[in-house]
Amino acid sequence: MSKPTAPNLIRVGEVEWEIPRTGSMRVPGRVYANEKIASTVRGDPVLKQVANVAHLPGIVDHSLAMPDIHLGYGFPIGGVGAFTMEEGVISPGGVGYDINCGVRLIGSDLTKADIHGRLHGLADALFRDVPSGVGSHGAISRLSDKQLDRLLVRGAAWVVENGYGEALDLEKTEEGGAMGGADPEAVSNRARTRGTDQVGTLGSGNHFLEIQVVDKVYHEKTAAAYDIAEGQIALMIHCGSRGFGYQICDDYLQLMAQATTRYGIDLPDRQLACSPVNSPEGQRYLSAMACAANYAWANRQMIQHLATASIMRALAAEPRTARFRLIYDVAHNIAKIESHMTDTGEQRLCVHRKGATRAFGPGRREVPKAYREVGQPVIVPGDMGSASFLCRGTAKAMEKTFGSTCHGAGRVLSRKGAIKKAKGRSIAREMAQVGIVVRSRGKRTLQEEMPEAYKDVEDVVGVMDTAGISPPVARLRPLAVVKG
Amino acid sequence: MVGQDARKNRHTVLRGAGRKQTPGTPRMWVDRHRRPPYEELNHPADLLLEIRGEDLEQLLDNALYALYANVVDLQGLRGERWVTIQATGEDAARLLGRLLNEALFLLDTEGFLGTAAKLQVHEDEEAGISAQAQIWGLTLDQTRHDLLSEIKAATQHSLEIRREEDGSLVGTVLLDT
Repeated sequence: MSKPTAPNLIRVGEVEWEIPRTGSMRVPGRVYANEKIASTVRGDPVLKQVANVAHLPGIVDHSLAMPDIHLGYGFPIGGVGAFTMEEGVISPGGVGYDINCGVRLIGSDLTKADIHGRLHGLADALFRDVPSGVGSHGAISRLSDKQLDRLLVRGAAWVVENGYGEALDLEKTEEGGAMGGADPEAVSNRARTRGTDQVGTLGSGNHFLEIQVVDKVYHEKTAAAYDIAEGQIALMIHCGSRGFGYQICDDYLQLMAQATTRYGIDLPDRQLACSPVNSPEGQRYLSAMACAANYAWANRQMIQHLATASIMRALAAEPRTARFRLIYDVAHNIAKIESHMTDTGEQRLCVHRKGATRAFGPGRREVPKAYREVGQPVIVPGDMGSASFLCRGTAKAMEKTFGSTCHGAGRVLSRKGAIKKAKGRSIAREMAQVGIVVRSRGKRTLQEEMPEAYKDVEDVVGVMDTAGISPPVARLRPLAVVKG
Repeated sequence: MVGQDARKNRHTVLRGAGRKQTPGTPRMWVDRHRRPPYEELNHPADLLLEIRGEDLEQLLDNALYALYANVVDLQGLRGERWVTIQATGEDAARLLGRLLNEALFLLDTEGFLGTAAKLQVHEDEEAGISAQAQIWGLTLDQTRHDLLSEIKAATQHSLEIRREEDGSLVGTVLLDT
């Protein structure tokens, strides 16, 4: 297997680097990175992936890469590509297997004092009450066909309608918790079979449920708008569309491989298999992808319900005393049809975000009314030992990155490398020594997900702050981590 | 790349540890952990495996072992029932990916874990290369089994089967975790 040659990376700004347009690239690449991150990616095959995306028909402006960039499937993780509706393409590899993998942040009026001495009990309760890990089954017993159809169209609203949340949660979820255009007919029976029993399951790997504390507020006005304050306890949920979404991706990768040939699209990498956005295949994929996205929002809504109920039972407290409320829920593996200003004026574009988060600025109608003045909340989880960040979208993001930003810390160690580095160590004990309680089902989950396996999330967030794309509003520290 | 050399008549292969066994009972993968027939290569995020086999049946058998051995610690597990899966590919590499995804589908929907397998490979000029795997296994139980990793899918990234100088086969597959 030959290694692709990594393209040149040229500094064009404090945190902006360019991959010059060469050969059949239709646009240049643009990588957001500081000096440290740039030095680690220079010469890495991931830059070739950024350049490859730039070959795709209808791509606008730049093939973008966020500072948490690493090697992905076709598109890099941390990649953003926007395509015109008329000439552009839709690529399942530009969304990823875990469609609408995303993050949900739930605030509360609880403080560390309220949970002092109870952390182990809370972690045990969450570990027991939120299904996680390989082979876990959903909290709702097998959905009927009719129920699943409704869930795939209604998304988080279906969960709320069935008593597991509040209508206000939907206002504070990207897309209101359900993308339009979802068509259950576009979903295979295999995907449906995988989806009937997994609503309300966390998964494994880098998915998690965390109890966190807001330990720093950077922007008081925005924090107040987001209803979050220093010292408050928060819950963060990171998971996606489970086997349902994985199957849809697999189904459509096969379809797109044929479509690529049929439409005569010349690809530098077959993993960029795609079809024109407006083709029957493209529209069908978007319909199926929307079903998976809605499934993921339903999943996170259900987990929110399970987790908050679990904590209240464990604390023997009344819900109104905790005042759990959804701050926001973001997708970071998705393709959206959005309006953006380009060189030729306002255009409808198909924006792929793979390991990248929407970060819409003030005034956008897609941002909840309560947040419209300050910009969309952006949730950026770090590794389990450090911090996560709540940031905000800006006008600069709309101008520079199609309203997109980073999604997390990005891996620096392979799983094999992490397991090797963790040999002879107890990651759980190391976390306990810094006051973090962990629970995990997988025997090697903690090793694979150890903090050293990831970039410093403060670096990643710092880059996007310097770029003016998504400045931090608050920092959150983990207190308890639950993993599958 | 495997192509002409994989053109064989239908045949059945039983793989295992080489112990005496009751007819019809498969050899288990019990000793494979001592000398795994695969190696994990470095990849920043996912599980990139290099799998070996004397021929395509053995390689596919070893690939199934590698898959299950990375989901659950297979040591000490005893199968209880047979399940059959099949897949077809335009070439051996795509067959490898699809067969693993069939196994993952069964794992996800029925919790089925394999502990041994019998493979049959058939090549047809029109239909491509197909494989049927009879897998001896059991149902995953979170309370009893040591979980390792959750695998989302076998991807097409690095998906390849090549022939070594000694005639044996080496396959690579990236498992999205």
